[in-house]
Amino acid sequence: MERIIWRRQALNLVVMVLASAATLFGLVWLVWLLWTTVTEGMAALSPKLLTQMTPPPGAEGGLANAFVGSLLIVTLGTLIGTPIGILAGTYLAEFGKRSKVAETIRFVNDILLSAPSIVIGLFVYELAVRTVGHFSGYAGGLALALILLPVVVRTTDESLRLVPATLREAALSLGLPMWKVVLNIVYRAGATGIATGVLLAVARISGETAPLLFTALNNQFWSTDMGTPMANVPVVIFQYAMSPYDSWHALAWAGALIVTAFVLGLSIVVRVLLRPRTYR
Amino acid sequence: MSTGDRAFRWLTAVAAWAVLITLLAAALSMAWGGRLAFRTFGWKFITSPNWDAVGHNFGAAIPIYGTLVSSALAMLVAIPTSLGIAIFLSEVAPRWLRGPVGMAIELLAAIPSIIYGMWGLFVFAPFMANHVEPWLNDKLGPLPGIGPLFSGPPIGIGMLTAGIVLGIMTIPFISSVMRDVFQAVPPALRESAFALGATPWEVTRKVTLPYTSSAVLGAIFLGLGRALGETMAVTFVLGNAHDFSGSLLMPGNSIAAAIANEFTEADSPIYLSSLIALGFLLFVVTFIVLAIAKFMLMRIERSFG
Amino acid sequence: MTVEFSQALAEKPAEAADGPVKLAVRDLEFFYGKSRALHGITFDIPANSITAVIGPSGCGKSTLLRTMNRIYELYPDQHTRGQILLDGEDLLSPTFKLSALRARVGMVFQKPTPFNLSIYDNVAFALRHYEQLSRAETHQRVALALKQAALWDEVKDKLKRSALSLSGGQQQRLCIARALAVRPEVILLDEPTSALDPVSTAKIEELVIEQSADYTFVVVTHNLQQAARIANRTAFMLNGDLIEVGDRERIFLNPTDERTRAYVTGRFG
Repeated sequence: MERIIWRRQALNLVVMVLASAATLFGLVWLVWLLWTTVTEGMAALSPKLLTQMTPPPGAEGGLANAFVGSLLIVTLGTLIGTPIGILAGTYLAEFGKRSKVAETIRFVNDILLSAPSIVIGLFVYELAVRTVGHFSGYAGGLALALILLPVVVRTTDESLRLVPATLREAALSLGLPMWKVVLNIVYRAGATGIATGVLLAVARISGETAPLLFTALNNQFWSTDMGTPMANVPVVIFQYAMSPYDSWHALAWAGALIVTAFVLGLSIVVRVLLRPRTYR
Repeated sequence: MSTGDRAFRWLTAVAAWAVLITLLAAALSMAWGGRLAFRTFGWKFITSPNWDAVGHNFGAAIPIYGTLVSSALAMLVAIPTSLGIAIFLSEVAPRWLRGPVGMAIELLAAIPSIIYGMWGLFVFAPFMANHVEPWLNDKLGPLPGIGPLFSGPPIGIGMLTAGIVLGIMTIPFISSVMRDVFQAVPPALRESAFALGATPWEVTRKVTLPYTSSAVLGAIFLGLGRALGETMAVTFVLGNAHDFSGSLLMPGNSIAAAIANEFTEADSPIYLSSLIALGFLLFVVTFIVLAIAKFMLMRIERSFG
Repeated sequence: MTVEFSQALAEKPAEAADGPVKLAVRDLEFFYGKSRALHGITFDIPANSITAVIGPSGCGKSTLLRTMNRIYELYPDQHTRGQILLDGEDLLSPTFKLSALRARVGMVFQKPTPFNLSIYDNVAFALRHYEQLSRAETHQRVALALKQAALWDEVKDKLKRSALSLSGGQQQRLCIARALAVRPEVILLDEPTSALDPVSTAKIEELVIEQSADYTFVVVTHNLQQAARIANRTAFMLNGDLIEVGDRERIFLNPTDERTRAYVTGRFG
């Protein structure tokens, strides 16, 4: 009897130690990745990053055109994806509810949420590059919009469903039309959750590379014309990192540090500050 | 219903249908873009290992094999680690530690995959080449059976490195779902087992895991879906080789990496079509895996009400 | 019993109210999907008075209230049969415009439901929807509603503050002010004080009595003392049936039905 209890306790201890070790194992990678990115990136940081264009092979330069391109493409993606996503989430939460149509769209949306981003890139290539005949910043923005869309749909749907039904009933009982109730009362009550979703989605698309490879492509020169191929930080990182030139590697690390700092910073700030409070 | 309400409802419904249409349109456009390859090569597109850009002869067996093997390796890394993390977060860690540790693990998912790729290429692959792979060569290489898997020059770039990087990337997706479902187990169930004198591990094995088994499987499929389609991290460390190798230490290829590497170089319609056809295959496979994941997770949602 | 006689009974409730009838409920049935929650309710609600609906939980009293402004229509699987006449016109008829109905029949819920707006905008929001008012007129109407709801003195210096910063009792009075501001004819109160402390409860009861000169109140409550304190008329419901309706004194002191007597004397529920 004593023996059995002792053996059970020992087994439990072994498993719990293993579980702790697994957690440590997971955290080690995070630290290692960040350590590398920060040390390599810091070494390559310089004011030239913001003032000079991406250089030709082997030469020195900066990432100015890539930053501007990324800013434009991410902004375009956000501007396209956010309103559609919020409206679609509104349909699911306010009108579709538990109907078959709504459940099907939720199902499809969840698949889109985890679908390989390179596939989205191929789709937009077929849709907006092949048909037009050339790569463009617009195509890149569209690809990022499609990646942002399902995140916003899901968080909007979830945030609005957390808004208590009595709040809608109370507003409707005043004789207000549904659209006014949703726009002025329900959105306000779900605003934190929706904002969290949009910002986390922006963080995600800011680092996306695969969907831009053959939509926005790249551009060695300064360009703010979204109708033409456009430089952007992720694709520049990819090309420069894969190259044999040390100066390009350094630029890639600098870009990697800035993108990572932005993405992680945004994710952390959003999670800590906007932690959705349940509506009383 | 007033006119304003009808218009609003219609507007939101159009947006919701756009989600559905996007998925359908993506599938159709890739099937359409890949039709030349499918028509020209038929089933051989999937079974043939020849990928010959000069001779315009394309078979995807190597990238398909690479996708499957690297994802399988990723699961070998990610499943036990994620399970451990979920157990740690629900049984071991004191309450004040759960939030920060859970968030740190989730940050692994927020790091852009291109960063994993760069780190893999410049830091992790050399580490594997210098420290891990020589040891594998020595200890496992001579063994019968599994020996060939671990033979060949320790160059760091290859299937094993790619699989490990992929595994690290999928850990946060699997562990966060597992943690959530573990914590959703009705306390009364767990408490009654504790009251009988069960240890935390016994409660996990006899109560929590059986109760959440379908969701745990769902979480694993969700991670698998991510691993299958992951592009940038794999592209850096897989080596873009179109030759078959039985060794995990040798370079290989994957569907996503082949598309990323070669798409802008595709100089003939059949080459382009073959790459889009690869995308279609990837889309279909991930769709099936993610659909299974979703069904598994829905079952538990329903039983929790 | 002849056919004509039973029809006459259905048309004219057993105990008719004095004075003009505001709401006349006729053979009202209610369904959650296939299950029937109200089994043919018929009674009158007199104008400018307080009618309390009492009964044990699950008896259908809240359901009854939710038919009177058709808020149940938000849920596709809920529907009604029968009639509710508002000044003689069937408000359940699809031809009765919903926005017009809800402008005439307001509702306040069990839990306070302040909008995530300022105190002022909570009251002004619906007002602006109905009427084109100048700033001064709007302010006047908001102030009036807040005074009617006995809240003005407590909030007049912080009208721009968020309504969520108010206490529970204040929030509930704000909801009443919000309903009063659009000048409805009927106000439905669904257990309006069950989440509140005794002081807040007393304030709300007082204001309801005061305003009943101008408005018709229908109050659902599980608090018998409350019904006894404020109601002019009382209706007792049990398991989806209306058991008895009549003047407050008669229902509480001299009920004709044994079940009513058992309930008002506290023997069940």
